[in-house]
Amino acid sequence: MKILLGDNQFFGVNHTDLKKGSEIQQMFSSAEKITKFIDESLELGLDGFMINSNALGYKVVNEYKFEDQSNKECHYSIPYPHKYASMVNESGMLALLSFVLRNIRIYDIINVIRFIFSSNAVFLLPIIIRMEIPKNLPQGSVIYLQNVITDLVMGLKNGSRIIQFYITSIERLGYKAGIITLNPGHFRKNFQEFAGQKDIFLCFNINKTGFNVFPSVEEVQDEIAYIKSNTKWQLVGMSVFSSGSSRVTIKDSIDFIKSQPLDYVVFGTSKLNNVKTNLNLINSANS
Amino acid sequence: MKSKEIIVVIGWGRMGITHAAILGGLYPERFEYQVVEPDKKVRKILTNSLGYDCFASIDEADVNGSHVLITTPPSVHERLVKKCIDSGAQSVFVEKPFGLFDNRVENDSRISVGYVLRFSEVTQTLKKIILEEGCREISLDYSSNTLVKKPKGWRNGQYGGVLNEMGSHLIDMILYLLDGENIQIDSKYTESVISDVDDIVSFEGKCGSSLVSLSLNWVNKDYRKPVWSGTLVTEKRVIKFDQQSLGIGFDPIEVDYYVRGRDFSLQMSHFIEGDTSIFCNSIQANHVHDVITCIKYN
Repeated sequence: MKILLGDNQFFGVNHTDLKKGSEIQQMFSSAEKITKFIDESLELGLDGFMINSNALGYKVVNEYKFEDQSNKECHYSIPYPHKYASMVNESGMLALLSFVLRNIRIYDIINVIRFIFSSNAVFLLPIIIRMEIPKNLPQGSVIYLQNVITDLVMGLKNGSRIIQFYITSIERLGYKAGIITLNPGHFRKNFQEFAGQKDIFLCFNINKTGFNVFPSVEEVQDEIAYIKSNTKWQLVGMSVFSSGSSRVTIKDSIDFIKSQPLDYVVFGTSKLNNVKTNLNLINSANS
Repeated sequence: MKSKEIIVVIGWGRMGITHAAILGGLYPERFEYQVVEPDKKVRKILTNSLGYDCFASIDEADVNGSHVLITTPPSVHERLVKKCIDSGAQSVFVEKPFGLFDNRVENDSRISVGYVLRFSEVTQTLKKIILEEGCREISLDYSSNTLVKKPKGWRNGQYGGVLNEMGSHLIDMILYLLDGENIQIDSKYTESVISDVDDIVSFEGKCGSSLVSLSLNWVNKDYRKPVWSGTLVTEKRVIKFDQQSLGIGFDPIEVDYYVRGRDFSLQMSHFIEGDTSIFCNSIQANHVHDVITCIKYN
């Protein structure tokens, strides 16, 4: 089981204590501070890091010296949903279209023409993806679709087509396609036929207490077992410590996670001591 | 004979999309969807990208016997609700803020209004505590960095502003928690920072015998995401809470499909199943408007 550093602590996200999340964010106010923490965590033995394409995350990846960490993995997630939500809030749905068209480059022309003639927004997807990926991100890295977008699109009529197009577009760019979802069972049912034998990274919540595990821990455990037996997907567990819940100890959380056939776990922390402790516990559990 | 039940979504904006996605996830294959959207470009892109049946006017949609979601700008809520009820809709869900201040829709058991905070586990737990221990005081705070540019259209007019858009949720939460119909406003403050309407609002007052206060600020650069939080003072204790946590904890409710929060999924499942155990009717929604009107104009 590989272990990744998550990014919630960098961006003020704490699913159980909003104030704490905001306080910790102050420690990571610049790309340099985030990069330093990532480097120190990787030196302790983590296998890689996961980071979102918000302005600060994009800058971290674009300036990161990947050549110094060649055996480490970068798992990048796109898009930063609040940017697009704010646009829609301020100026309506067509503001999105206007934003995309204002940012086209010469090599986007074919897709723009296909969109103009078909009015099919799927042709704009490669442009949005290109806008979100830093040039410095090494080929072969995993690029995930954020759960807010995955779960929104998956619920819409024919939304699966959009996600299929996403997977294909990421692969064409030389990256590995990842999906973050809070509904792994729905994803599997919708995509096993199309992508069951593809090298997909599926990231979802799983923890002992059932914190934000949908629809339930038992059903997600069944899905994990099914997916491992029937697909080639790499499974990435997140929220593995129940977002710091006091209802469960770190050891119990890790004991639970080690009992699952996951390929990766990702956890966020603002303390190197926690990185070291968690790493030791997971590795001892692995052995 | 119709093969599937129909859901008519009026207004393909952020909330229309969100509710349609949640319903699609909660009830795969159960419904056919019809979208009423006045913007021709949006209709064309939606049809060609996702295959939805789109119509320019509600008159073209199959409203009779259908579940209808009204997620339009508020100025047309009242007209659309009447039209849907008159056309025989099975149930009508209207996004907040509901209707106009002067044009009221008569109560109808088929109408439910989208005050989603009622469905939060935090709200439900607080309601139980207040029933047992009473409420001496409740204060709520909403902070976000939602507005970074001056909004266009209705959001920058009399139906926009932080008080209508976010304050209505929290005022409804206060009235719901305290079983109140009105808030007596003792002091208030409003400020316009980016929009031409209110961006910062606060007030203190009374709901029944409970002291209440509310603070709203959607131009607060210290916040990355919208956050609501508060303090409840009962006859026995002080409880701090926010949108996802409660000092004393709570048991999360399982939902079958999650998009933006369990509360949004629960809201849609209650609407479809006709479950009125948590429900905001049009009279209760109009009480929220009465409080807003009092803050704005008195």
